[in-house]
Amino acid sequence: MLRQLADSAGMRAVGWVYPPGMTPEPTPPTPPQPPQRDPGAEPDAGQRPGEQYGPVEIARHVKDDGRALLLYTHTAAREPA
Amino acid sequence: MSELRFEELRGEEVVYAIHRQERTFLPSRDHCPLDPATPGRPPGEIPFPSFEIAVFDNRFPAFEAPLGAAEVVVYTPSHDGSFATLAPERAEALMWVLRHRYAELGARSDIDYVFIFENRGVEVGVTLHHPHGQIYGYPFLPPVPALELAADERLGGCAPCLLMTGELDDGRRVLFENDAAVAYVPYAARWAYEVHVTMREHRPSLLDCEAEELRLLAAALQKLVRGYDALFDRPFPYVMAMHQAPTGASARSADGALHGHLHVEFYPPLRTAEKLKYLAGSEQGAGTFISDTLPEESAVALREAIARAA
Repeated sequence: MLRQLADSAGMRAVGWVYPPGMTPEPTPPTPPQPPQRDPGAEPDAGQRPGEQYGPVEIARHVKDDGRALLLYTHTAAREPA
Repeated sequence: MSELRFEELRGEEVVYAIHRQERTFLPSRDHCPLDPATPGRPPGEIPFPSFEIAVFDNRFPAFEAPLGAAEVVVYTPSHDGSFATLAPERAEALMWVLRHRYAELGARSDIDYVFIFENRGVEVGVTLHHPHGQIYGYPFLPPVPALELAADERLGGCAPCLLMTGELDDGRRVLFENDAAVAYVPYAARWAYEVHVTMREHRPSLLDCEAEELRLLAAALQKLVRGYDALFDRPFPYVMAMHQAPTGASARSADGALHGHLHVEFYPPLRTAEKLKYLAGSEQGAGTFISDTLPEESAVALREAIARAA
């Protein structure tokens, strides 16, 4: 809506990354799925599971009741703004 | 699902989210839904034994797809502490998280304005003490950002740029500055200890900031909140409101320029260590704030508190 992701170049897919030390308990999350998005929106890196965004890695989950849960982990890697 | 009704007399939307009446209200420490998963405790919102920063859809949303969004941003797995006590690296990472949410929510066709905010303290209605903020994706442009766009038109340029420049020229209400941000009590502050932290360069949103600016913005916000806590030697309640460019149809002016200037406004309800400012007759019925504290005097007190907290 459309300020399309001005810094989409800063999003770098790195494959699914499970945050260190995280084991599902007591309620295991369902496999990662992209959150509900506008089907008319252009695809972007934010829809892919496991991605680097600046100095944070994003792991996407869907809770048992269908709500999105995103876990961000600080990493050493840093993308230019 | 919430219902929007347009209040004709004031010309503004009212949101009816009656399901929020059932939301969790000041749970005991052992029942905090924002804590990491802990054996022997009820499951919370984040079913992992550890995490750094978490964002999830609000269980009791004021807005939800396909007409807006409501998210919770958990700053830390630690139940205690505050934004101010986060490690600087965590606070910097939080700026990137907020930037990411602004980008994703702002890209949705049903969201016209992404509003990032934090309510701190029971004095402003906090229902969970665990350090966290919230994000609303409004399916319309709310009144306050609309007024800021109107201020741009009225002043003939970016209002936050002009106001910040004026504050720097005057100097009496400036609390501190770094290479990216300026913190000041505004000339016409409505709250006794209201502070605006404004990006020094014209940055419509977090998306427009350099990495170093995000780091310095986080540092400025932490410095301010530490000063707030030192002012009365107690956790200082506030509403923190991050104002950025709209993402909907009103995002750009007729000439294509992007509206908005990233700045963070703090509205603390305390007017003394023990006294709250209430929104009463004049504020609610006439829309005019009556303040019993001069911004210049508040700035002196806050500068001293910030120095004590350093």
